[in-house]
Amino acid sequence: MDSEYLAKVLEGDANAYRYFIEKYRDMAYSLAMSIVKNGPVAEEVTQDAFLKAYKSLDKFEQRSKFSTWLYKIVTNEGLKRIRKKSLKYVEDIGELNNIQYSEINNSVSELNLQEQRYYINKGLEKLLPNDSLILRLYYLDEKSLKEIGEITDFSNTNIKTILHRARKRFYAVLTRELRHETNSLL
Amino acid sequence: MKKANDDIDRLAKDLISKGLLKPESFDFDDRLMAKITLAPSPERLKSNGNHTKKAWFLLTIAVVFLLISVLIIATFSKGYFSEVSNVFQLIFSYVLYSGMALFVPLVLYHLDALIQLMYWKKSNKMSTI
Repeated sequence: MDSEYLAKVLEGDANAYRYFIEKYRDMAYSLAMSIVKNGPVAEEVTQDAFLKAYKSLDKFEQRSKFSTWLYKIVTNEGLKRIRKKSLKYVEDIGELNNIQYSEINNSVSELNLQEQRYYINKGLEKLLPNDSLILRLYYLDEKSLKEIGEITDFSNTNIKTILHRARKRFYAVLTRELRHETNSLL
Repeated sequence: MKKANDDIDRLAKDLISKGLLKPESFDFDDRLMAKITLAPSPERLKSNGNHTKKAWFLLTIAVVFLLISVLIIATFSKGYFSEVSNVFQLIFSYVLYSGMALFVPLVLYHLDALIQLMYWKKSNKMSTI
């Protein structure tokens, strides 16, 4: 399906590009948020990435999926932005070895879907850019390690390490957020 | 141990799969499409790139010919071959003038594409602001 619309855009039909925007917008925005951690900036990054992809569409050789190629552009644009503004998001996560997975599972299942989404995104927001980026690529878009490697330029071993660490950190942040929420309710 | 890891993995998948975000601006798509419509199409950018390559090729050839001509004239300008050099000088000036006459429209043609590109970049920056 992507290749059909790709051919249309390359033939000069700019409106056909709306298909890619509608299909990949949310994931691209989520990835941009992983890196820049700021809604309006993430929107700018997403728009710039889509525009850049459009302008270089003739250079896209279709050796990888369009999404992989686009997400690489999003990642580069996001990293460029945080380098430019020298934004730092290093949060003290605290104890990582004492995570109660069943507690997280139970606490989350008690929340409604909107609340769940809120806390999950809040948890991802507090992680390092690389951590949340790789978690989103792996679990949200179900990209393979090879595809994540193409997007981030990390080796397989590196991705596995980050994934393991990021998952722990995510659970730690989530536990803290949920405990905080429970305490504020009591 | 493996089962515990699988459970942790499954929980992460279950949680993060709910974390898809949407842009907050209601007109996100329309703003982006407006920029896309203003941008030169990939097809046009490609042909502009080809023009630039051609222009550089022609310019390089012109410079090479110019250098060769200058060298020939400099070598033969004195002594026995000075008469030959005069003829060369005459031919060289004719070639130079006709070359310039051809070069001006070529430059103007590329100037037009360059101005269009510059204008597009400027208008794109403005719309971002």
